[in-house]
Amino acid sequence: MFSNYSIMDIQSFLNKVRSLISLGELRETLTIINTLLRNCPHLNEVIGKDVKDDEILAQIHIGRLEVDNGHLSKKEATAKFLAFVQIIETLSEEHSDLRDELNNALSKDLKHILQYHTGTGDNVIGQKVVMDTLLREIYKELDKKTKG
Amino acid sequence: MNYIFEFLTQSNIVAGIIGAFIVWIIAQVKSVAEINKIDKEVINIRIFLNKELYVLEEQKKGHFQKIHLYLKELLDAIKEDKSPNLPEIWDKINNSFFIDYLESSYQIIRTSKILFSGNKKDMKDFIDDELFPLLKTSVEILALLNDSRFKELNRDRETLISDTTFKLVFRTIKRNITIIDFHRRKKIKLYEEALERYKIT
Repeated sequence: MFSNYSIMDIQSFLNKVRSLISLGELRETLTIINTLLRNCPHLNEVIGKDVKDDEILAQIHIGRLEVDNGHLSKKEATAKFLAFVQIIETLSEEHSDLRDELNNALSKDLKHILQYHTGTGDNVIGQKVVMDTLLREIYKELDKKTKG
Repeated sequence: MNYIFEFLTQSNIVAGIIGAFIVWIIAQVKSVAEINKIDKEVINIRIFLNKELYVLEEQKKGHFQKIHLYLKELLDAIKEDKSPNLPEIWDKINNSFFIDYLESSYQIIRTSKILFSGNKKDMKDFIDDELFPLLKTSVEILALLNDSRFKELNRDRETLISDTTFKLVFRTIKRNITIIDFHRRKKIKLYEEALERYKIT
């Protein structure tokens, strides 16, 4: 969750997302799911159809969910997020094309996704942002150099 | 004669009672004064510790910003293919993290433990606002310093921690949360696992 930069398999990725949900970092989880789906268009489409009848799951799908706004408690939202992750897991197990797409995204575009969405940051918000940005840039450059 | 004796005896008893009452009053006044004095001393100590904490926090912010500068230096060196400079920058980040950042963090913990003793709410806020972010930053810095690709460019350097490096942090958190505080206990476990890989074996 914090520093694994090796290629991540689907299961460990989903487990890490679950850990994040259990830590109550729902906003971060929403960003991760949204980024994941942007990088997996086919999966995005299938999930869209699967969750269209559930208002909350549909909101998670489009990345627009407001937690603790009076309509949805954090506990309910947590349950919905876990359900959403479960859907991804089930789909990836049942459909090899979706599994491949997910694997591909995790090995390329989403390698560092969890590193920068780990919940509690430094207690000075501005400094946390600077730190995260610098680390992201450094890893990007390291990627370039080692691939080159 | 009897009347006079009785009068004197009664007078003595009354005098004794009045005397005892006066002594009791004096003792009470003294106690109140002493309690007030102790209260004032406690307040003064709290003011002193608060000031101390402020200075330490400012120092820590400075060390954190210094790490940012070195990270920027590192980024530029990687971008500009200045591999020979990397070991030096790596050392700067390493030293700044262990010697300055962690040390100032430990001083903050020691001071806060005294300042917040007996105040469970403040202590929990301190754990959430300072200690968990400290662990997160530490994991991130250690991950960077030990990144295999970075080591490759940096002639195979690594930095490791011992069993005692984060002992104070974990001990402070564990002693100030309840056994049923599953949320924070889960966080502790995650950080312990994350740091485990950097321990000297």
